[in-house]
Amino acid sequence: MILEIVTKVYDQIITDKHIGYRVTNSQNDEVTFVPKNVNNSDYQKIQEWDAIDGNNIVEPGE
Amino acid sequence: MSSVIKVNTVQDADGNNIINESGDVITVGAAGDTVTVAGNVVKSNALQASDAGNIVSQSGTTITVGASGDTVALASGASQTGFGSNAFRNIIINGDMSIAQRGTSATSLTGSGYNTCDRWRSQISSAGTWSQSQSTDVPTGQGFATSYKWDCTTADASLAAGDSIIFQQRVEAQFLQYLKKGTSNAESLTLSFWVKSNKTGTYIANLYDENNRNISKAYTISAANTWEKKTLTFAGDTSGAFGNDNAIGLYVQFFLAAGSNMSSGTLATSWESYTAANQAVGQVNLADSTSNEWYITGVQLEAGTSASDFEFLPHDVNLRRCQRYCFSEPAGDAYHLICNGFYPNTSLFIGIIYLPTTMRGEPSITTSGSFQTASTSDKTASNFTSTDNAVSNINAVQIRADVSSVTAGDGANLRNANDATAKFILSSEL
Repeated sequence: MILEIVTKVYDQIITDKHIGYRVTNSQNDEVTFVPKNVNNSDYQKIQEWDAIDGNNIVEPGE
Repeated sequence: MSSVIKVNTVQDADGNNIINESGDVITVGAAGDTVTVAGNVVKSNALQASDAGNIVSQSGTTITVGASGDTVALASGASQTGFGSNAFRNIIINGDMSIAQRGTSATSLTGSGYNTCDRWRSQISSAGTWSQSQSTDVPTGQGFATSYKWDCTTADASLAAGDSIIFQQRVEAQFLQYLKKGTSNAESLTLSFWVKSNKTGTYIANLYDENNRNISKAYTISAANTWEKKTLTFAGDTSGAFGNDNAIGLYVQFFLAAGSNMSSGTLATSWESYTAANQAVGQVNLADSTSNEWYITGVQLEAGTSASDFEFLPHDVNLRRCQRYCFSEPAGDAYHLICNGFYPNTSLFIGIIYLPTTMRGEPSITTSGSFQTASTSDKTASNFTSTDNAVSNINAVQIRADVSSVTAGDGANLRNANDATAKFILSSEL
């Protein structure tokens, strides 16, 4: 999973509940939903990526 | 003409019994004697210990080793081969590279991730560009059908200090408890594998644990473009116990390149607290030419100081083990069904995927291509999510997808939209 564009994802029913992230890979058309779960290694990778200066998680529609 | 001598006892010149009969009991030799059978064949239905307990017995075609209450142990340094001998002894999953759910090839690789063969992760840190594939180039006559191939497509002949390439498998800690790591009885580990490359020289294999401890061993690819079997034994580690959980316990790593940050020290040939510079001393730079290729298969890590034959698992068993970490709906099938579900409102689909095996944890969902829900009419499905929040032992996943203008309450199924190249992958890798 290449972290280029990372967007917050909210629950489709409880719309203010943050449930994960969507990672879009512009090179291969792949889209990955990553649940907000500390046991998920993709979630861990996003947290590490977000902690680096210059990387930014965007809100939907931004 | 035949002759018969009838006696109860035969003795040697010193008067010691060689053969003695007392009732139905015939005794050969005496205490302290060694009895040798010429021709090495003894025919018997049972071999018993001095307490009359069976060691080996035969009844018809059934051979029984030991008796009730016995412990049948293998001597230190001995190894077993054949079906049923210490089954699932290989700590590595998919060591024969036979399962490749994500696809059989990947190109333009420069970063980290799982690309082709299941469970195998690549970590490329500014060290060239690579293609990888599940190859059919294998060592002859060993039973392997596939190997993992690395092919350099853009070289980096001058590695910066922090550059490296690592090919690794991450092992769940709860699968490693029997190694007794962190105790005085810690098991040794033996890593065996087949490897081939045009680039000869020194390579490094490394074990790195969750406690920031590691040990490395060097091996040499001696002959270019020739399959060679390598066996490396790592001492048991009396420090740093594995946690008993579903997180990473051990990284089994093969270096393919290492800048000075990882190679300028003294190779850590004994377990030690991690010092980067001691990890891959002497490692050749496989990224130094676009002519370079590296193949590996038959990777086995097992307890003990010797390598047993590679443990081939049935394909379905191997697949199930991989599916604990990755479950991919098969590509190549137009309108392939993902799951059944319903519309709770006019813009949402909810379905359940029942998994073929328990996944390690809540998975990510990776998709490419186009999908639709099918009910009274077909509707484009996008923006997949799941909501579970479970930490481990996932047996089913609730899938949600955005749709539009559907009828609340209707049943529907989720499938690819006549897109045989569509991918739908659940991943719970370490």
